[in-house]
Amino acid sequence: MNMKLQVTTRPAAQRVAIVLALALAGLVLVGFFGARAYRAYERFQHPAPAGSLDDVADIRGWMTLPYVARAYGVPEDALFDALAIPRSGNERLSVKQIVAKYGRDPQATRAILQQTVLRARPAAAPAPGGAP
Amino acid sequence: MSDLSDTLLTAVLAYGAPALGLALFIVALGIPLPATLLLLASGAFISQGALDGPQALGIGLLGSVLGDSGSYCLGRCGGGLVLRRFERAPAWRRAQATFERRGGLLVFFTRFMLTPLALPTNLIAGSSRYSYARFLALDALGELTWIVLYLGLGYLFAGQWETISELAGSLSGALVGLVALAAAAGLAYRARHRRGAAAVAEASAGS
Repeated sequence: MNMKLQVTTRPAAQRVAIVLALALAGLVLVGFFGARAYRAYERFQHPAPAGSLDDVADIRGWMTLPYVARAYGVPEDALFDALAIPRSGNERLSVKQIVAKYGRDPQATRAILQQTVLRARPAAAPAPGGAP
Repeated sequence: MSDLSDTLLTAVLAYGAPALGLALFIVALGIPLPATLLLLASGAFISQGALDGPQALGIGLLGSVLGDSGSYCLGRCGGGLVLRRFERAPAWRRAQATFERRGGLLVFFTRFMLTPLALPTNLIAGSSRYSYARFLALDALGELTWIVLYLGLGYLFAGQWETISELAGSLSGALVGLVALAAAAGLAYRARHRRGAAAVAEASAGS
């Protein structure tokens, strides 16, 4: 009799535990990701003004120099020349990889690229979509 | 953005669509990479002329379908052990029959919604011997929807792809949470229903 009671009650307790665990996990996921989604949506609704001189601040470490040139509508050679590095062997490297390869200061490298873009940009229009 | 995301973005810029296809192949095999972010960024790169659109679509689709087929095969081979042990169990047979009936919807929708459930779906499809031809057709259709959707969003909102990436990732996580809540509600309802049915049966047996 006792055995039978154990057999019938244990699965019920397990089921309750599973339901509670699932509900708790669901609530945590919905709360955490819901809040993140809301913040992202707010940013999406009110994007930073594009096209200002500040947008060169968007030059990122993952960008390659040919991509920076295309996104900001400046000649590729101007960027390679400004950093005083050869084009060959560096075309597929990111800004971050170039900094590591030549032992440059990351901030100074970024500043050089930003100034070069600002100087060279009036000569050419930026690519459609602009930089992120 | 993480170092991994940075490396992947640089790879797509440097090597183009083959890098995107390789990343999507790896993701479909179950190795977690920020695939949605990569697709949105690739859409933005296409709009800027830094990436070829048709190539990105074709090679990306090929990579993800091959990866999904790989994880289906893993389920099919590894599932042999599970099958030998459980194939006569009624619960396993019921699960197999349910997947055979409704698995198609799961395969299709987990490609672009509920994406965290895509890998388990592939493994279950393989281990339950779900028809490979049907799996392949629905997988390709679902992956095409996913790739076109995110490349398109990245293309249309090229300047805001990072925000959209965060929004999409968060919505996907919240959706998984909603599925967990729905599963909890379903289990609770079934348990209650069963208890009610048992009480009725007991009462009728007693009278």
